[in-house]
Amino acid sequence: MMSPVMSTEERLRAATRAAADTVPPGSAPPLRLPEDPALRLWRGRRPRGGGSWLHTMTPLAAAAAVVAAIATGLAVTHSLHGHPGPPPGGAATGAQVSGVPAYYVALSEPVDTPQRAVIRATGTGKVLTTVTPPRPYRGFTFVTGAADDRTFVLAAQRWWDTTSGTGGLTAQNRDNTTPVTFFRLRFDPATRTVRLTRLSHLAGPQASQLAGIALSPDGTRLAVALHSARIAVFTLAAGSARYWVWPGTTPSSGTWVGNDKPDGQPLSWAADGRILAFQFWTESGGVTQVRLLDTTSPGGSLRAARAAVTFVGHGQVKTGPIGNSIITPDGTKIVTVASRTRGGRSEVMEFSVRTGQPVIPSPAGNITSLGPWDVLWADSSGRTLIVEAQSGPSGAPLTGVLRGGRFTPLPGAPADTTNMAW
Amino acid sequence: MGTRAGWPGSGTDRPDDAARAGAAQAVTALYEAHAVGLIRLAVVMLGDRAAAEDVVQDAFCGLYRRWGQLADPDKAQSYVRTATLNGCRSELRQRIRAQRRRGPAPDAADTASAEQAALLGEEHQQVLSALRRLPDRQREALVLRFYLDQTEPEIAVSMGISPGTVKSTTSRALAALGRLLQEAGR
Repeated sequence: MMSPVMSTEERLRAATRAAADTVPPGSAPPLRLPEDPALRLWRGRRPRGGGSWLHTMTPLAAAAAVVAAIATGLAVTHSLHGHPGPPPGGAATGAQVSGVPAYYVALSEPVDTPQRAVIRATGTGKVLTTVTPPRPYRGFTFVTGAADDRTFVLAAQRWWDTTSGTGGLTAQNRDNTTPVTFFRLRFDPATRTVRLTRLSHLAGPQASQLAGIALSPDGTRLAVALHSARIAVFTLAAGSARYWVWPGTTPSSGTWVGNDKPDGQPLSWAADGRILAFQFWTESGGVTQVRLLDTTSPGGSLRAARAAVTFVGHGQVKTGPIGNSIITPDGTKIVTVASRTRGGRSEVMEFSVRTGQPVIPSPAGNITSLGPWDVLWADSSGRTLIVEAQSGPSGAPLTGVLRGGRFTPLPGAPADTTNMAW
Repeated sequence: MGTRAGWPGSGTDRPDDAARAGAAQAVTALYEAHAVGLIRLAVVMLGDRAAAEDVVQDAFCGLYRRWGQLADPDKAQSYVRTATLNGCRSELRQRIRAQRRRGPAPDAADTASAEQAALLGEEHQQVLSALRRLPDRQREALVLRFYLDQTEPEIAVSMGISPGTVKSTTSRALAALGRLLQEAGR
């Protein structure tokens, strides 16, 4: 069916226009707004190819029906996200979540303006305090934590609106001309207060280049991954930096440091504060590796970082990591979510740093009833993990503790775990 | 919290009826003017009319919730546009995540509705399927460039990346799309 005379561009133009033309003018369904703007209007998924809920629900003017829908919707939404009610599998208690850090920082969803940092108690999900970025910054975009569970670093950037002018639409713009600024956040659980310190002496990268950050366990150094296959490590006290680059990388070479996937952070430190693990992949080769960079060794080439685990599309592990991959603090294992066979079911997998092979059985056990997506935190040896998984067929995210093959959901954990740090 | 007058997000202080009615009227007018264009954009991204309508509905509900926080109502369009793109991204991620859990099956991102598939020919369906298999940034760059006909500086503004990154991302995305189409054609 492929036309030999059409370029990829032409085929793309034709296909996208054809898809758009399936929506005739004037065919938009009526807008349904919640009666109270402060509430979210839950929308039930419509059956594909079946009757639309628009056909079975009244329009906005029918206030009573809308109010009922809102009330029902809120209940369902809370249940799916594990907020006020007990999540599937039972609510976690303080005792059940022992062995994991007591506090974490989660960033609010990008649609919120400004993007805030919310500090929660891991065991209860209770919001302890909320931090708004100081002016002129309008959003925190990344967060990372030290091992003391009190010290965090946040990346902040400016946002502004600007007109675009195409198709009569305007666009909201993410800051792409000024550098990221880092802030150190120290949390005092006794007083539930925070101290936010601007780290203005760190030369942050251009906002659009930032791919992830990782604070060393002792809180003294900050690793920064860039989309241009570069890693920088800053010393927080002095502001000095070392840089590593993958040699020969060009904007079109398709070489990436970091997972460039929806979830997770691309960098992690071993407890010694020396070894930094990062995910490396190429678009053309189909190879994904987890490499270990000795940040105390001389040189500036990321190629010198040892490949601890290689996913090559054949052999025992046939697919690459699905989300992020992190090194356990003791430096012995790489933890990730992958599948053993191409297209197979995803599972939490731990790999020996020494051999590059899977550790079987996995020290933390696995989840048979839930589909894991990402590993967000690991204890020293990888026996206790914080994992994001799917709560059911609906696909709603659920974050919990995996230990001994048992998954304990954390109450109150936000749905978007891309930016959470323990 | 910002210093602009507006509705607190907590819901403890509700706007008065007049303000609420004004917001509903303004958002509804904006919806009537732009909904079809945004649904088309979402259909291109998702391949599913029902999901596209949901995403756009959500975008306008989000705008309604934040109406009182807008310093400049002219920026409302920018909000719903960005929210629509973000919603499409979330929807595709949800599909991929659900696919991971279910295990072997057809392409995770390629879950265009049967209705949509019937409306489009095999050639177009193949191209759109390949488009949805690209990483987020690449897919969005191609849609903005080749569907909305945005210039590189405009795409840079829309995506919040530098013009140089737009160039490289678009170039990589086109190459990746070409490879996927070649594979599909074998």
